[in-house]
Amino acid sequence: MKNCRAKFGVITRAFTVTELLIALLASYAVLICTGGYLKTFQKFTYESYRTAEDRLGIAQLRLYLAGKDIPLEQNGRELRFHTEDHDRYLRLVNGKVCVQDGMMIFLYGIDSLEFSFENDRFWMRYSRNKDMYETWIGFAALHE
Amino acid sequence: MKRGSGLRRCMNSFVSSLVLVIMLYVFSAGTVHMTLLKNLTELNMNLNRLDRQVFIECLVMQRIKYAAESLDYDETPLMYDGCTVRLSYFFEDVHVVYEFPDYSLERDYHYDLEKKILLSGE
Repeated sequence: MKNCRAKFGVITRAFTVTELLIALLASYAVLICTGGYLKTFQKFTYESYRTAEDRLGIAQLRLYLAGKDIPLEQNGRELRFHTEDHDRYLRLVNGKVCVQDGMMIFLYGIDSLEFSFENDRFWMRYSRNKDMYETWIGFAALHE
Repeated sequence: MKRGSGLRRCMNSFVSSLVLVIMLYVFSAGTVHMTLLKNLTELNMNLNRLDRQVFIECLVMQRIKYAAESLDYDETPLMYDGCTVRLSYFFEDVHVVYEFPDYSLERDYHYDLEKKILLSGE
């Protein structure tokens, strides 16, 4: 009888430890799945905010260029336009789309940039992390 | 003690802990995610509205440049994508009222005839 009780005690303790281990394993498994989902979600939110940041920068760029005189002849790598005092250039400098001479930066983290003129609009094509984006940035003057 | 009861207890333990963790996740992280998604949707809507506004502003600015250069000061209200634009010319200054279906805004522009540059201000 004594021997049987001792055996039963060992079995109960063993079950408690097993239950604890299983609970830990289950939590760990769920956390791994959640972690994967969180990572995807984080990437999604990061990309969404990056896109939002880009769209705000592009809106500012469009308004900035709207009043400027932009010649139709462009070399593709930079956009030349005329301001109050002299010619300025919109170009890629250290991954930033900025106006030179000047201190205005519109987009960040850009790998490549090119401009074109099609269908009465100036277009900007840029790439970031192997993704290509294309957007209009200005209209040709109505009399041209 | 029966042999199968241990396995059943293990299974029960596994299922209960799984349910507990999932519930915790749904009630805490789920709420945060929903708020984030709601904010992102709202942000996207505002950005679409901004895009439309900027597009119309660019068209109007082109129109003002053209008016100043060709001396065609036509004050007939313009209609762009549901937005009514009222222009009032006063020499080289232009006062513009944009009337969108849900809001309206005013802008003042100045056209420099000598430098052929349109300057905008709030």
